[in-house]
Amino acid sequence: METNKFSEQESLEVIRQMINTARNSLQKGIADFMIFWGYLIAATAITVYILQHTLLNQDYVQLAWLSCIIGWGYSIIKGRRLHKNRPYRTYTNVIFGRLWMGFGIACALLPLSYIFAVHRFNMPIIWISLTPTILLMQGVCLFASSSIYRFKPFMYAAMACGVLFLCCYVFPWHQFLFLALCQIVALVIPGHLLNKKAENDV
Amino acid sequence: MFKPLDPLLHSELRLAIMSLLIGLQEADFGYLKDKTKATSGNLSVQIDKLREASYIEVNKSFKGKMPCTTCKITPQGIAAFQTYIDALQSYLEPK
Repeated sequence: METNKFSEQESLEVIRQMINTARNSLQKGIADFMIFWGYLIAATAITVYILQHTLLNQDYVQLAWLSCIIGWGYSIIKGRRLHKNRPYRTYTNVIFGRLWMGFGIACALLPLSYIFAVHRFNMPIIWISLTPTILLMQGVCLFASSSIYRFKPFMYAAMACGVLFLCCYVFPWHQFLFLALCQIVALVIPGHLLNKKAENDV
Repeated sequence: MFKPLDPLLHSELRLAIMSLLIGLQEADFGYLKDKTKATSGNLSVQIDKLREASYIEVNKSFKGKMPCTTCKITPQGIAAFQTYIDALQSYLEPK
């Protein structure tokens, strides 16, 4: 490609071509995580199912899910390698990664918090977990939104959701207070900040 | 009335670099070279011109033992690109 001056039509053609190139770029190995986790969870689920239907002692069957630790290890190593070797980074890549990372964190926190709730308070899981689960889902959405809008306060709001999610299990009798606090910290304040940013951007 | 076209952007290779970077968060030198099909020397000179105008941000690091140059469009670059497109439209609109 030369650096010489060119016509307006040619100029438009270059813009169109390059934008299409960037838009259609998919990084090699982008779906490796999905394939790996798909196989891992399917294999573990089948193992648990078989053990549930064959073993008389069911006490340790669910320990098969510890296989997810291998998954997290693989994801961290593979993620670092991809991050290091990628020739470019698109906004879509970042959002895709954040959304699934948020989902992964939520999947790790949920069972751990259920176990904690049952052992500590001996409460029925469904009731004690309702409010924190909502907070966790809110956190995942905010985590992804921080990439979509390239707006850091959403990231902090997602972290606040995570902390308040844990607080809901440590102090379950204050859950609605945490829910209210979360709406202020994670929706109202970043919402106002985003509106202010939008006004300044006009 | 024709609006003036930014001379820094009205050059095939520099415009190609900016058009690629506008759709990406960042891209390394090898990727830009591959997509624009420019020579390393020419690409390097044009990237430097865009960096001097603060249209792009250039970070130099290492991938293992290999040097790696990463380019990212700046807010000034986005504004200049937008102005360039607006100016371009004034040339193409039917009179």
